Amino acid sequence: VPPELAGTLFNAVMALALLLLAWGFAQFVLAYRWGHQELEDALARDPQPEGDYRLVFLIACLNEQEVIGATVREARRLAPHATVLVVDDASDDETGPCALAEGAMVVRREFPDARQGKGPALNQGYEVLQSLSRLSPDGFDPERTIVCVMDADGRLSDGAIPAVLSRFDNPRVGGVQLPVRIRNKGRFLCRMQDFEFWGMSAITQMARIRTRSVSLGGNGQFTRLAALVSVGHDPWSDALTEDLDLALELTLRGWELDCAAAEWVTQQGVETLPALLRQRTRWYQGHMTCAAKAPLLWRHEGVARRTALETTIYLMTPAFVMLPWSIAFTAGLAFLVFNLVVHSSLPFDGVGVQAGLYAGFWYALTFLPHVVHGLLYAQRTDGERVLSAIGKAHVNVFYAYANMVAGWRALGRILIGRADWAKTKRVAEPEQSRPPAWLEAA
Amino acid sequence: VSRLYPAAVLRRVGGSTALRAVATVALVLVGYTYTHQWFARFDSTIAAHSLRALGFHVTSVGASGLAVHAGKQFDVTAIVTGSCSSAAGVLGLLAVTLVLLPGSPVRRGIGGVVAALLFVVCNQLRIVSIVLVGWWLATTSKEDVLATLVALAIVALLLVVLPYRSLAMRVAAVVFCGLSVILAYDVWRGSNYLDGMISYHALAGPMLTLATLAIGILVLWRAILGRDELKLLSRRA
Repeated sequence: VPPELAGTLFNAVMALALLLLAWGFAQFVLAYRWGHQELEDALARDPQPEGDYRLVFLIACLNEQEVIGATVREARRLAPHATVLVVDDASDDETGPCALAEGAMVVRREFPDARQGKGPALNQGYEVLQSLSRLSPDGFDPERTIVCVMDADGRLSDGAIPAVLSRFDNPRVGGVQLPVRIRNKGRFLCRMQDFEFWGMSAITQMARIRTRSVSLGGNGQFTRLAALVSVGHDPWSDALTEDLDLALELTLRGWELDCAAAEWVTQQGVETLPALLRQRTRWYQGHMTCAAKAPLLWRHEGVARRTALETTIYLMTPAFVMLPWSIAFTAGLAFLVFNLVVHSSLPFDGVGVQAGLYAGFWYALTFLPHVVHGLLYAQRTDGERVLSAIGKAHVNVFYAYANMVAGWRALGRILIGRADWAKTKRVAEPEQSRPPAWLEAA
Repeated sequence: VSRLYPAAVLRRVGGSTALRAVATVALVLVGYTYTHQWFARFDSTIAAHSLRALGFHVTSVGASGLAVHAGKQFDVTAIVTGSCSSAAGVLGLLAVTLVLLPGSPVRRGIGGVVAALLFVVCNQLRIVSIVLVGWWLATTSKEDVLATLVALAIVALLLVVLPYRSLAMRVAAVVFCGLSVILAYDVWRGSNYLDGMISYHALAGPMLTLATLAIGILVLWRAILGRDELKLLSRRA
């Protein structure tokens, strides 16, 4: 390649990097501003729902005996009148009995229907829920029945239920998502996941309250029964990210999606890098596949433009921002490091620019948003020191490479047509892992 | 084999959304490669007119260079390069407008054109400001320059640390403070105005470009939303 053309191509990649950086920066400014305001408002409130709601917990499980007992117990402690419905997706272990012993209603799926993914398992639970409604003397009021989808390791914060239910007082709200925190923070990888979820994703979710386009997750996902009914017989699809798919389906039907900013749900983080890559690959594959629905948002009159725009931007993030950024950022970083080590100035279009100054510029741009999130994270996390949060903010820039790798893997899997479901494994939590005494005796 | 048919692959990777994203990236890369020299000439011509309007004596040098004179103390040759030009910003904003974002073509068109024009204007201000900073450093006494830069840095620092400031203002103040300190350091150690111009170019240039591009993107998003939706957005939930 002639040096002149190589230089032009490099500058073209840097032009793209600048566009992506500006795009991300614009998103960051809005997310921080709106998210921070919504968080402040939520913290200032003591929310109590005006309506009288029926709450149903729906937990899809596959080999979850390590954690399911404690999850059911905790759900019943927070909402004694709620129905806890556990769908046992043909577990090999004692998941069903453990849940039953703690007072849950257990539905067991059998082969060949079992183990088809989380969506079909949740749909089975939904079917049972509708049967329960039919058997109930008055039936379940779909406007006042809220379905909470939890992971088998999910734990709600103490104030989560009133905070969430009060958001449903707005009749247009079809779904409410809780911010996610990581519970097992013994390993550094798990602490980084907590920083990612609670420090960065949570603020973005709070900002999306403004656009009514909060993304639903698989844990701490609350939906109005009427909204689920509007989606159809099987509200959760067999998509790899059935939660995102449901969020899109609800949006397309004119429902608003909200977030209870001051509360949270905790879950286990994955403890090894291969497991993290596997989990993220599934997420990105599902995310990219769901992006096909973005144009539909602009064709439905019931979808507000702000919702359609924000959701579209969110859906196109992996393809438009993350994958190109992974190349542009790496190329820019390699160029910068090479010139810092070999030369004292950058041959930037013939202008000798001090490499130190340029490094300072890139440092500020790359790390500043993460540091701002880090400071907010330290403020919101008990026992988190400011210096430690700033350190994590710096690591987070490189931790993002795990997501980039997962994004490319997801793209590869899509191209070769692989869509198998890799379930995230839980780890035992000593104080909660024991099966009930009667089971141990048996 | 049917899994690998282009239509099947496209559907799986997100249909038209993925195609739009790829086309946008391609448009920026290819567009920059073929048009950056034209943009550099264009920006150089406009900058020459602007500087002449400010009283400088300007002559063209080569395709996109400017020789700027202001008395015996200030005599520089500036080159508007491809990466200094409006190419990246204009192509990026237009690609996002025309290809990436869905929604009403009229709203997108208006937003895209306004954002691109804004970018060109701000880029001109940036190019002209580099020359103006150099001229100020060359024609003002060292003591006055140092005192002014230190005073500006202190004011910016106060804006960073004082409470009740918005994030955008704090970020801008951090940048401004850093820039003033670096220029002050250049002057203090006895560097000439050309070194000062290079420092300013290296730091303020990309930051101003990025900020303008980010503002352009926000302008584009706002245009797509329209006034009614913007009112709803500003309301707290």
